[in-house]
Amino acid sequence: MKLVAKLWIGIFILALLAPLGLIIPELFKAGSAWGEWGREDLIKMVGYFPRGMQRIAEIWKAPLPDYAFRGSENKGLQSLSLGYIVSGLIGILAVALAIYLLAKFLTKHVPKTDNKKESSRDPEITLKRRSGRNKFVEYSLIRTLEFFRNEIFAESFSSANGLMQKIQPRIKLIGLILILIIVSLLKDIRLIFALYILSIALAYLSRISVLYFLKRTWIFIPLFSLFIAVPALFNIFSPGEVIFFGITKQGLSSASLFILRVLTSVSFSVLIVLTTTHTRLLKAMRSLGVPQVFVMTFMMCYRYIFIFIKIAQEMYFAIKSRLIGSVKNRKAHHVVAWHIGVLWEKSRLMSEEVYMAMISRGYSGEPKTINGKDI
Amino acid sequence: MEKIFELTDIEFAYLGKFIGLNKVSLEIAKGESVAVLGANGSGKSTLLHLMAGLIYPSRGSINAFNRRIDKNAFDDEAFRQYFRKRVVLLFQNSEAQLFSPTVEEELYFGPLQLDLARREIDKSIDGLCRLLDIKKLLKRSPYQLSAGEKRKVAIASILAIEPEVLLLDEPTAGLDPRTCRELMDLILEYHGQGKTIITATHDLHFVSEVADRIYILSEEKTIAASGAQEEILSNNELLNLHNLVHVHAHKHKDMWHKHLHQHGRPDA
Repeated sequence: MKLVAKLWIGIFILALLAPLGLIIPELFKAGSAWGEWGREDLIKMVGYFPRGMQRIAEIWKAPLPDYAFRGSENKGLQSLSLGYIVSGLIGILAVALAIYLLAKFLTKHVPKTDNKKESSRDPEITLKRRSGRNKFVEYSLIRTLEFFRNEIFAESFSSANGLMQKIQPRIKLIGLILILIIVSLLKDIRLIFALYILSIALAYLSRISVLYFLKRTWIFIPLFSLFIAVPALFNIFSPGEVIFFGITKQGLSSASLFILRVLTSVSFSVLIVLTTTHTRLLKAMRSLGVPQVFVMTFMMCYRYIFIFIKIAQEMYFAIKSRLIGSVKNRKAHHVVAWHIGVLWEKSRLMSEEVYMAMISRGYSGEPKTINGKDI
Repeated sequence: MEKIFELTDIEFAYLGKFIGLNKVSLEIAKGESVAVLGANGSGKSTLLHLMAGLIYPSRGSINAFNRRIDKNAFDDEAFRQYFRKRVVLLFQNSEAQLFSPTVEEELYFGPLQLDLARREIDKSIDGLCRLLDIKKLLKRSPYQLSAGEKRKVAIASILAIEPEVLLLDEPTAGLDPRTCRELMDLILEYHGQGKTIITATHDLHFVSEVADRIYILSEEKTIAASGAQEEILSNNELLNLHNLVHVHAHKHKDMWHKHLHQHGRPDA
């Protein structure tokens, strides 16, 4: 049986076992699970319901309250158990669907090509065409590398001579924080939309390709809003005037308000990141009072992540170059595990060496840097 | 002459069991250029790390500037500043040495930590940039540099401290001949100014030009021989024994012949 099939069966068995959480406390007369108390439980335990919680409690209405069907809350263990199982299955489907869509969205589709010459030149295409499970590791490595190469490429925007590039990083950072606050407070969808258009206009004036900018910003939308915005459309969550398929007017407006807020916030953030080199951005953070150690850790992460991806890739190719054909499953797992271990050890050694290099040049716990020089 | 380093019966073990150095004793005087020769894994880097006060011997004693270097030596802030301003180490791995986001910040890191005057720092870094021709790299990130550029920036970053003693770990490894030559000239120049140079290497060409005195570390991780540069380099038997040269067989027309062969030394 394939591994994926086994995993699916495992997950469904878990869903079927979900009612155990109902049955066992019932058997031992244990009441509700510790920490999972609802409103009523709290009132029983402490005598009142905290006002702050009251406010937050109204934000989210569960689609199946207590994992039970409407009207069957008091119908006994059997129907409650069924509710648990159905909730589990819905959850599994929702997560699987989200991951599937995310994977589709995040990976580039490479058309199959029969042109051998071309495929041998482009490593990505050759990899795509290879079969076998190793493909996954290889593909993700290459994708990660490509992502970081794009990041470097993105640095070319920050050195372009556009509008936003000319503004001091500190001002940009303060402006960004202000805009984020404003966007989260505004209730008028037209005003937020105007801000969104402003971000695109600024991107254009900063010599960032608008298409690239839209791609960079929209990629975050499903990530942040799929789970929150989509359910809000329907009348289960947003009671009101139904337009079609249970989508309510109120639901539609609150979902679009939410998405637009996310989009505008993300757009401005991406705009700042694209138009400022990371070093200047970090320095701006420093001048706004973010602790030096924190900023320095950030800088070092950024510095060494490239090296580790490169090491990882080289190690992977070193193993691959010595393989003829494919490796059996178990052996492949072994190789990958060993690989991760070696990488861990290498990074440990590297961090030790970096620390020694710092000590040797006089570092004594409180880093001093050329602050303020080019801000 | 004034002694800078004095190592007596140094032993060092990794994790308490893997021997890194075994009964090493040596002395280095001010203004000398000393090379520590040895095959891979003979403990050269360990020795330099010890002298740079980054690790401490498990047995034996190490004195620098007439003061014993041990775990507690650097708790004395005045001595820490004194020592770090005088002794610098060029790491074998430039990636580890270049941890700052830009070349400029890398160059400023050492002098700033050691509280040198800002104007002095600017001046010395400006001079180094001209000397090493790295002015154009200042705003770049280390990952955008070639191996040769990385080594140059690494060496500039330690020279910016304006040290007395340079500990160099394989300075020429992996460099192209021209960069190698530039680096050697630079080191010769610093040596000429009276700086103390201690180089761990197996590049015999480098040694023949730069070093006055040589220590050979054996695979047993102890000092197998020491002496003046000419004396050691002309002793082929000794060099062969310690894997620093190898027997090379090749053909002249139809006749095979064999001789000891060193790499990178034009007169060999």
